[in-house]
Amino acid sequence: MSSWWPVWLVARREIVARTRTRAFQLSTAALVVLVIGGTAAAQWLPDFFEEDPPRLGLLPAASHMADTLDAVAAAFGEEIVLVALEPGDDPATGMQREDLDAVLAGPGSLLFESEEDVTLQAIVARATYEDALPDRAAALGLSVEQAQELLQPVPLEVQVISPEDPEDDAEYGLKFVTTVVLLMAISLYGQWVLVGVIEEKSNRVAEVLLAVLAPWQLLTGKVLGILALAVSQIAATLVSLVVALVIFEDATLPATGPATIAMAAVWLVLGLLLYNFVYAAVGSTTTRPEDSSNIMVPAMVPLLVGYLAALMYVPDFPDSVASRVLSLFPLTAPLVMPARTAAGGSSVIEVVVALAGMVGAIAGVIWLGARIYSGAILQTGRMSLLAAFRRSQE
Amino acid sequence: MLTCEGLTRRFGDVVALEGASLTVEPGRMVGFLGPNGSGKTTAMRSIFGLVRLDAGRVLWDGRPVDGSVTRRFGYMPESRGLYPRMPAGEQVAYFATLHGVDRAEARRRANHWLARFGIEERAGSKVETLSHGNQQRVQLAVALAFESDLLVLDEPFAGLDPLAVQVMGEVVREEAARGAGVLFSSHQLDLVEGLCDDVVIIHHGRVVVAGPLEAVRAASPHRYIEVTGEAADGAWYRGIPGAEVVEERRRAVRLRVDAQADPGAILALARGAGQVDGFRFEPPSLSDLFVEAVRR
Repeated sequence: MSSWWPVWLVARREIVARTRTRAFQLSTAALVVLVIGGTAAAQWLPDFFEEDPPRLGLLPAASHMADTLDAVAAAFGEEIVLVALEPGDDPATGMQREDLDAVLAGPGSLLFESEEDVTLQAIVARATYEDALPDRAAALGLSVEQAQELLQPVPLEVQVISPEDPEDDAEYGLKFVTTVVLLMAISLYGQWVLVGVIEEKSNRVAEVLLAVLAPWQLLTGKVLGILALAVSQIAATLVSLVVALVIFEDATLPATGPATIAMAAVWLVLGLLLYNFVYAAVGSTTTRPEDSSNIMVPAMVPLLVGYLAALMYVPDFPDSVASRVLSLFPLTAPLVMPARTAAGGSSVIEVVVALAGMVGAIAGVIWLGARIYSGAILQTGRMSLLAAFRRSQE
Repeated sequence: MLTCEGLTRRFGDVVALEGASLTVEPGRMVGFLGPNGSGKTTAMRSIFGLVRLDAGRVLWDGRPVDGSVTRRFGYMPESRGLYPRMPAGEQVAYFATLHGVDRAEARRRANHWLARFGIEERAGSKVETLSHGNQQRVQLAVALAFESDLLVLDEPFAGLDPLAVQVMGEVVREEAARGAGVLFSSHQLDLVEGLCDDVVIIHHGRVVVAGPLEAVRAASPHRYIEVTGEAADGAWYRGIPGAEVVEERRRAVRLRVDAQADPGAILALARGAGQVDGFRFEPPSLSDLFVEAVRR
């Protein structure tokens, strides 16, 4: 029997046992529903909550401005509803009867009901100006055309030297999503690994397992099983998101998408592997599930440093020493390197070095984790990582 | 054949094993006895490499034991270990696959052993829903679910009702008859005496008695005499050189005497003191051997 066959058996048990749980089924369904529902809501809710166009009453003194008001509103890209009021109508009465937002009593008199509407005010001001232009031009001895030409703005030549590529935005967005998803995934699935190891230790099944398996086989099988579940759950969520975007938002993936997605998947898998092995080793040092949140803290520190740096520092300073170090250090690389690449700060060689470092770190963590695991797994109570490692060497 | 040579393990100042040696031959049942904390569990764990030894070695057919060998060993630890939310049948089959049995055969064997222990209708039940006794049966089924070369069972009968003890005893005997070596520990000495071929008694990490049970009994420097009837209440035995009262009840007395003592002469002495309803002269029981060994 190959030494990897038991690893597969352990991984398969993990997958089968967890996919059977209601928690896994419900959380997967909830993620898919949330993504599709959220995307649909983002499309439909703005229409639902969109306010009706403002209603403007025109007293007879302003009724000649109706066409001008419509034209100006259209030029502004706004919509207004004009309501002609009866001669002798009081503005307040008209407002109440016709459910108006404002009343134009005459060319220079605009009344609002409770608060000013800046857009409507600008539309009326422009319309009033156009209404008054012929008289003002005549007073100066000019034709309307001459007045308009006089007031025509000087053409301003505008050029963009480095126009933003919409593809860049999409790619940056994708890497931002990768960073967030990776942090959430490592926190969630790392917790699964941690609690799973603690349970196996506290219910003593670990002793029966270690009588037939090497610690690295048990550790690797558990981590790979949970990795498979994590990847499938994340993939289901992301596929739902893409489908929902295509259906509801009529979106298309950017041309660079597949390559970026592939790199994001590589960082995601490597990050999950590295941290899950760390959590497995850490989990073996206690038998009490209530200790899980405490013992996670040391492993959370580099994770959070990487996350905050990826979002708040690296995009602005991709070439700084700190960005370089964080993008190459295995515990922060999965979070920082995608952000640094998106900001244009990393070379292909640096990415390759970071990936090689991750693979080496994973191998190291498997070796170290298996020793910590074997030193701690049959001990009761809590022990430090160092004590567990020393015990395995005794 | 399993050979443990000079097993030594210290945990700080605590000596768990001090040069302990024992053998388990194929087809033999070895009762592994000792007071609490004497080193039985540490010795059993060391067979599977679960405890690193300071000195000594564990051999199977003369070669050091490694993972490929222990895959052929069945193990039932003192602290029961099962997945609480995994169905019993799947659990037994899963462990069989870890020992190299293919999945279809593993399922067949799981069904077989659960039926043998009378819990086949609970095969689909999660282990955490089973009674303590039934969990114990599942744990033993896990150890038996492949045709092992060696069974190491740490307190397999603890907490079981007499009927379950009888069934488990039969099953373990059948495994030995198949050719597997069986090393089992228990504090139920009468039970062990009825089951084991060989006995190993360990005390303070050292093996103090080891060998075939009958040979160990015969080699004892003591014999035990039980007299019942009117004569038991007298003080006639005070004249027997080296005689000690082991147990005294109304109209019954049990004595320890030298192995060279003449039973005929002792019976004559007893009869001289009163009516003798019953008289037994025998080598020490396992219980007697245990007490002799740990008090030595």
